[in-house]
Amino acid sequence: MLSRNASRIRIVQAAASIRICHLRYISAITNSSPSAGLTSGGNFPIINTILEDLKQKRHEPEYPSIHSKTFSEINPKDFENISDDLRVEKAWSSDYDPVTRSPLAKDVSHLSSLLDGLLSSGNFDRAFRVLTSIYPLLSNHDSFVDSVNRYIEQWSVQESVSIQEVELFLKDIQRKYNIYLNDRTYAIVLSKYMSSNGSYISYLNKFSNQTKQKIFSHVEILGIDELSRIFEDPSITEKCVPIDLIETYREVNRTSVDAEREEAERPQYFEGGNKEEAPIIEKDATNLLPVDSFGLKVIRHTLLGLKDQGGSIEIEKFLENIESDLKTHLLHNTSNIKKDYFEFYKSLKTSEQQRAFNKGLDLFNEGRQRQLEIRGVDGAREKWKHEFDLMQKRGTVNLSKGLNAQLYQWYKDLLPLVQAEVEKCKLLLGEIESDQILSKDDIKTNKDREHYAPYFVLVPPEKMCVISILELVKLNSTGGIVNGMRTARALLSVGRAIELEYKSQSLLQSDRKRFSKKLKTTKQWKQMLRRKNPSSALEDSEWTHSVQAKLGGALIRPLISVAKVPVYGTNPTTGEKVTGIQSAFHHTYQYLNGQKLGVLKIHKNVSDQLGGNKFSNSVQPQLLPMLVPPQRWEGYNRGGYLYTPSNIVRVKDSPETLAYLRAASKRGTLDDVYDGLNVLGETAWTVNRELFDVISHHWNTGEEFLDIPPVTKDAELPDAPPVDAEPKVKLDYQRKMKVLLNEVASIKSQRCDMNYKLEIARGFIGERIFFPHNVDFRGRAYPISPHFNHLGNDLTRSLFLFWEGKELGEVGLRWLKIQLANVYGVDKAPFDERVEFVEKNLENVFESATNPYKPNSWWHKAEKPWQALGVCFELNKAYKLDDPTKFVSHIPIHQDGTCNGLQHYAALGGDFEGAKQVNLVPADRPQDVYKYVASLVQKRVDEEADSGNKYAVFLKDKINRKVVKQTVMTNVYGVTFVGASAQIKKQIDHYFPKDGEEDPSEYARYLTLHVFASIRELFEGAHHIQDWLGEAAKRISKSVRMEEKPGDVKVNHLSSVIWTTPIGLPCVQPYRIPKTQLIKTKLQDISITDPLGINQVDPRKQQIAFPPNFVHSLDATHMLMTSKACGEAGLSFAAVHDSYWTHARDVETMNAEIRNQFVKLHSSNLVQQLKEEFEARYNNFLQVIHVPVDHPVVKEVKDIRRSIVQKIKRALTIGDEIHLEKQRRIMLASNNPEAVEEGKNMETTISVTEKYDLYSVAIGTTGFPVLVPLKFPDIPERGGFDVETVKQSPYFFS
Amino acid sequence: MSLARCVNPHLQKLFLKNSSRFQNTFKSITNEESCQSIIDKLDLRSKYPNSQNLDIVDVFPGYGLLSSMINMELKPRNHVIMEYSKTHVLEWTEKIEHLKEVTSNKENFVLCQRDGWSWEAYDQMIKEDKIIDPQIKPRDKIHDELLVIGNLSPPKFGEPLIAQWIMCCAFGNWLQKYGRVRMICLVPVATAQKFLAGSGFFKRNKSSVKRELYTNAKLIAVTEPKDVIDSKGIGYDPRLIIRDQPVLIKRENTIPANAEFAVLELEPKLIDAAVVEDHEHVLQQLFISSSRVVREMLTYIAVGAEEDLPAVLPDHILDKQVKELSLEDWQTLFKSYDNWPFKPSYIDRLDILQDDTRVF
Repeated sequence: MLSRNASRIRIVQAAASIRICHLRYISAITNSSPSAGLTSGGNFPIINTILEDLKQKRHEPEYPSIHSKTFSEINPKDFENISDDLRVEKAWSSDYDPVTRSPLAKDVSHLSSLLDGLLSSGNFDRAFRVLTSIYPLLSNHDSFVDSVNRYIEQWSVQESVSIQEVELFLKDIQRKYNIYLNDRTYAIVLSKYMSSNGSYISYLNKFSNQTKQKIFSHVEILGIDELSRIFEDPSITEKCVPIDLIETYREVNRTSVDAEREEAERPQYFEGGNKEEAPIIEKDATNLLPVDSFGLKVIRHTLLGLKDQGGSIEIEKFLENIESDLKTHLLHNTSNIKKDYFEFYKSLKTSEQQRAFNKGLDLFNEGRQRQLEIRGVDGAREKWKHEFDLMQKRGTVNLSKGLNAQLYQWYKDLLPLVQAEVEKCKLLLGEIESDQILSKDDIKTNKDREHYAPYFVLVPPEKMCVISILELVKLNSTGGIVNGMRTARALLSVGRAIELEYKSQSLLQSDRKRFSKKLKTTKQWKQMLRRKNPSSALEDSEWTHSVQAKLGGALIRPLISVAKVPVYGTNPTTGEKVTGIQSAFHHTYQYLNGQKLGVLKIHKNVSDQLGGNKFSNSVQPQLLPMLVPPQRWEGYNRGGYLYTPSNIVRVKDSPETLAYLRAASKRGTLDDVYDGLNVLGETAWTVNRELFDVISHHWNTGEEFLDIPPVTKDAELPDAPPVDAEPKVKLDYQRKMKVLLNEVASIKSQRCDMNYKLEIARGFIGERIFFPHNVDFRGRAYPISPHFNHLGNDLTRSLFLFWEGKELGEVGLRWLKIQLANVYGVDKAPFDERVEFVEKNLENVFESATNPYKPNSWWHKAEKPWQALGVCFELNKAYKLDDPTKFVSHIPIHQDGTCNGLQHYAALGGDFEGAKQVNLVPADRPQDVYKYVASLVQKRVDEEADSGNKYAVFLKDKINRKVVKQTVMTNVYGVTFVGASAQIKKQIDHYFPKDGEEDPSEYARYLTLHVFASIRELFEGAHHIQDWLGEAAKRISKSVRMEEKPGDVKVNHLSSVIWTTPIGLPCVQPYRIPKTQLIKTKLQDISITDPLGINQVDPRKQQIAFPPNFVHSLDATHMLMTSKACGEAGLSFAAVHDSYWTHARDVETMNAEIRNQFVKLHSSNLVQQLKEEFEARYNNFLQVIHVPVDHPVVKEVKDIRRSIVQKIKRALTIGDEIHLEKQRRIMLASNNPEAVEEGKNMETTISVTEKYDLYSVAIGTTGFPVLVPLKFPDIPERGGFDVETVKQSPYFFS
Repeated sequence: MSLARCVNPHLQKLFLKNSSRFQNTFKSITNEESCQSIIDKLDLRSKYPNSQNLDIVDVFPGYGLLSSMINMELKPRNHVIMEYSKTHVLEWTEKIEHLKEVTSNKENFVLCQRDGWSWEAYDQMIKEDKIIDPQIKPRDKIHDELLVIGNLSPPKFGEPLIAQWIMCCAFGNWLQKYGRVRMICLVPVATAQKFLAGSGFFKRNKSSVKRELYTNAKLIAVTEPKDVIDSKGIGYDPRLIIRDQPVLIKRENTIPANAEFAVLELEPKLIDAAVVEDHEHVLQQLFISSSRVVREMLTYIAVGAEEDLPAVLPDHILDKQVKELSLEDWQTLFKSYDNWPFKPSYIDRLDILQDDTRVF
């Protein structure tokens, strides 16, 4: 809607511009002014007028800066005179795409979030002023209705507001602003009619059936109870009901036969009001609690139904356990009592039982998931309080005994301060009246308070306190700061966390109406629960960085003042022991690399706790793994968590990417991306308890073990040199100390990080968990849950099992063995040899599984020991069965691509030998591309050694796979020559004595040349494509749009490289030159990038990054296509970029899909398609290139410039040149034949270049600069490799 | 005929040659009278009465007119010309060769082709090249057999180098290990203005406090300011100009022409080196904002300082802006800090940028 309007505006503009020209043309004729055409002698009135126009000086309209105004400074009158020019939406990167931005976007966004906040806190008068201020800023006034809806949605539910007032209000708005109301408006009014007992049916009957359907779709406004009332009315027929509510409609109006049948299906204790059977979970029951008890009832029902098949006592006991556990803990394992759904699930005998259990668990977990997301913060606080109370009973609160009690102490001390601040904010907002006289200080700080007050009152103070503490604890040792974090990050993170909490609350609020006591059947529940949440209302009310930072400041500042820890010191003069109290958080500045950096340090004593050997229970509940399948992706911002808004593409400060996604989402081209991600999201996992036990055993010792870092004590430091030591000695000492301390700090921070992961893992032991996924801007998928997911290192990966088990069978047993060989490091051999390796080592496998703690165990020596141990456990269990193939396996088997980037390049370039080396071609053994490249390098070096080259002579016996590996691997991703030679230097460094005569860098550079040349030789076609991609990106990032205005002396490069993946995801390279803004906060002023500024692209980054990004977008596409196909085949599927996982018995099905999808992806000419897309998108663009000064075009351009200068009597700017070319093109496209004729005769500095192929003569930046129409080079020829053969290649992914 | 007393007639011709061969980053004085005024102002002869035992270490003399005239004035036992850049080495080789011919180099110039920026160069010059053999003199008075001259006029390294030389005065290392060695330095104007600022002056920063703590410094000469406004004393602390009455070097008397620099004389003070490093931290952290009052800035010294130190500091210090603190105030502050039981250790004060291993 918005985009169509925007393009309409552009068309109207273009037409208007022609019209003006034409009018002037007529007046020019009637005035019969002397001819002044660009081409000599002709009479070209339009051209003359254009030139006449150029003489005029232009005034830029003034830009009102609204985004920095506080709520009290906003006055609708100020914005009334905003010129149309300012409002017109402009294309982000290209007019080709219906993706535009408003120059006032920043202001609209500021006002929208303000409106949102003021409405939530019930400030309707102020909200109204903001509402009416939004109107003049909108480029598309139709969208104003969305803001109006937001207003009345909140306002109309006030009891003091009558339906008449609402109607009157809307009438006024319509009259004043001439807008159309929409179905959402009607739903809000309808709801008001119902709640005030108005004649809602007669209101409804004004609308057509179609509109009624749309109105009813707004379940979050009407609520299921109100809808049921409406559906009871005889005038409402099925035709008025949207499809997903038909069931509900039918139920309301169901026939007695249906009712009876359903009654029979429904056990008695599902009836409402049967309190006895419904376990009360928590006393302060919220609206959501019935869901839990209902779910539990369902589990009970399904499980008890299985009574006859035995195990009923166990079931009873199990259920009792859960019930009692739920009273205290949402994630039960945090209480150290382990309830294991997974063990229980596995113990169920038949698949029917399992299905029933899964179903029950689904419903049960729906409620828990909501609690996790919504009440998680409270849960954390309860945990703290619990420990605090225990400690108080025992005496004093002691930090060394546990952090939680300490956290609770801070919380308790912070709360009154935050509550007081909330009061002040409310006072300022006029929400409460008080005769309390403000202190001088308050008056002074009120100006500052105005900026955050509307947001500070939205989340309850209790939650804000917990969130602030959790965020800061989470950020410990990030951003390069030892025992602390960068202040800017702390401020923004706390602010953002508050925003997220508020948004979750709002989603919950709008969700409440969807639940009803009247829903009786499982099916209905499920339907209602899974119904997507319309989050569009939140779309454009993102809080600005400024708001986030100021909020953060207002919370962190008081926290610093109250959060204390006890400390011990020694008086230097008396030697006496002294105790004291110090701040737990300390704001200070550090000098890092000569720059002053604001940091927030966490007291060492606290920080030590976080990296210690105890789990600290300080997990931030947001973004944890989910207990239910994620909401399916159905829109670019709809999917994933239930109450935590997330986008399908993870972007940081790139509104352009979001704009493109929004457009694609509206066009409906993202379905394949959704499908692929949904499969990943629906894969059910559980935590491998056996592995967890082994890991936590080693963790708790505090000693280093495999990749578990040790608990760090203070580093053992060398003695300091004497004070009068030579400056160099002192400097060296300092440098050495920094290296040492960095090592210690890094171990500590790794331990912190791992602690976090393990804590989450522990909480989810025995649970069925899911990971919502989204993608980066190239389409690569990642779990949204950031800390604990299957993307981690060996240790983390080993903790993952598929929830579902599948019997191995012969095939599966073989793949289980291959998996062990792979993770053990035997992955270069043919499959049979890998199997053989494991079979030879079976005794070791069994021994590892039975005695995992034995020192120097076989599994320790594996390349990926933890994952190897996981397989050992399974194999051991399998071989304990009479028939190991009957074993039900849960472990994911990995199939990895061989240098996946090169595989895609080889397919693109059609390089046969290259394709062979990365296993695209069937072979008996897996090929090793690194070894092959090393052999090519060897050949080259040998030749040069023969001719006596000193580098070659020295290096010829030192070339091996390892030397070239990293460079080959990173070559695809655009490693530079400098980067590559640094990699190679690392590999050959040890051949050179320290302080020796020879410089190893020279040798590294020499070798790098040959490595590059060898890769090029092997992947020749691929490299031509890489070059082509780089050149195309260069031209785009240096291109100029036809938008420069007359008089502009500088050109702007505003277009990003944008392409669409074969499955429809628009990829926008987010590299622009950032503009920074200074934000004042209570803690310090911070300087951060301004995402909404209009920034030029960063041409260097755009260029360098494009080839690897393009290839990544292809490997991502391949993964998503495979994911979808595997999902359709009923497989459990997971992926870590180019490593695809499934059950052992399904590996071959997955393998077939991996190959099919690869062939499908590469069966069309992707580069040709890319070129066509570029040509369409960047059509009519220009570029500055430099040509030799003696080229004939130079004289022509100069002549034209001179003739124009003579006419306009001022210097000609590049903006003028572009303007003239634009006018020429408008004339050529005109309906007016005379204008077309004149356009044909007009010559501009750009049109004269068209007859030459100037790209072929372009030289650096030393030549003569000319503007030429942007063109792309021809795409290089492909080699003869036929991608179909991949289907037969066993080691392509293996 | 020049009125300057210390001109070496045998070098005069060589100085008159085209000076454009010198690296322009090193500024120099080309006028003999100006150099003479500087030498008179320095009153060197009375400071080095036994100059037959004097070694001069002359770092980056470049064009070197001032150096050659100081040489004439003091007639040292050794005058080490420490030069590293090709052109300057060539120039000085030529000069010394010439002198060898005409005076048998009774001036005692020795070219030491080492990089004065590198700390090792000095020990190598003394221990390996054995060009000079300075004696360690008691620290109760200024060393009278060793003098350092340095042309630190290039802003890019002049400022950091003078700052480090001042620290060497405090630590007693580098050439300062032989005793309290006087230094005569050409420094960039901005550096001189900052480093010599007194308490309360808006350019007061941690370097000027350190200069005041560890040295007695005098502003000997300044170049004529480019801007007339500057001549009102806005650039330099006016108290300094009044106290030191520096020589004014005319704009045309420099290479490159219109160059800007200042000549300083620095004498190390007698101080206790043991606590210098601790104090460096206090200085750095308080000067994070020089215009805020001490009471507010104490927090940046370390956690707890904001709470603990005010109890042991007088209000008149706490209520001063950091830049207003006098030398005595600083001493008081340091004393309280030294006695503070929770003063951070060396490790706590070391700012390191750790490898970021955590991903969010």
